[in-house]
Amino acid sequence: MKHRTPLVLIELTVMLLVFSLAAALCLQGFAWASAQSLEERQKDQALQQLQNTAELLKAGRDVPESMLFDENWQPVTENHSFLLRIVPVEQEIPYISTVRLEVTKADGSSLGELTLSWQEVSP
Amino acid sequence: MKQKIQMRSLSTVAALLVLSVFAVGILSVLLGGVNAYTRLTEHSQAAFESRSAAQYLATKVRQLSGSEAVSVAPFGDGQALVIADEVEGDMYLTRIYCHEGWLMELYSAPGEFALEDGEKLLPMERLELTLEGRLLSAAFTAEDGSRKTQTLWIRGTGEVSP
Repeated sequence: MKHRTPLVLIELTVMLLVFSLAAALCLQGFAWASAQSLEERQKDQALQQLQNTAELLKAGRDVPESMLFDENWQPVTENHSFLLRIVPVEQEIPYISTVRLEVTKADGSSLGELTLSWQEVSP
Repeated sequence: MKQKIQMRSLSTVAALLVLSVFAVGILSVLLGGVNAYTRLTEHSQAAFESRSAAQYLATKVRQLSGSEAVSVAPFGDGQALVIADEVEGDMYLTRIYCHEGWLMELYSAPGEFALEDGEKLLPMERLELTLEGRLLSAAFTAEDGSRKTQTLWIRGTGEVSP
């Protein structure tokens, strides 16, 4: 009787190879999902900060033109992970002020922005 | 003959080794997948709860018609956001507060009520409220300890008292 072990070995090796390819794809998928999840959480927090700043501006509070945050969204003065900026926008309509609020990562990529307008004085 | 038997044993061991590598690989990928899925669902659930709580409070404040009185008052062992409104000549209070791990709402006429009388809305560990003028700040602490702050400017002409 011919011994079958080498055949099994070849079969297993092929199986392992196919599995490695599938596993590589799966791991890539997991890594992508984790990165997406992190990005979504950052966008969620960025939007929350934008909304909070918009509410402060609408309440007439003094808000600095730029704010720095660390990775946990705590205000910092240096080594920031996120930057919130208030950029004035030219407005043609009288008595209306407009600003663009934007949050960017430390590498400069945008996380979100919103435009805010309010009536400055009574006409 | 002896050499042949040795070769066979070696082949069997190699096959078993490859099989073990395969089994370990499958298990690792499976565990990795389970971990990734658990982490994603936990994050997603935490984000849903904190966002829902923040949006719920924002909606409650933004839907005020303008005549309601808003205040932050002690209720039980914590604080509550109290929205007082007059309905057909009678005063009703909406109290939003946190109790035993839940964000709760109690809509009632003024009077003595227990914290348990409210409706459970969302899981929430802690709710801190501050009212400065017409600016309401709320800090939500979720079950996992994550904290989210929200600032809301109260529109309208209703009385606002801290």
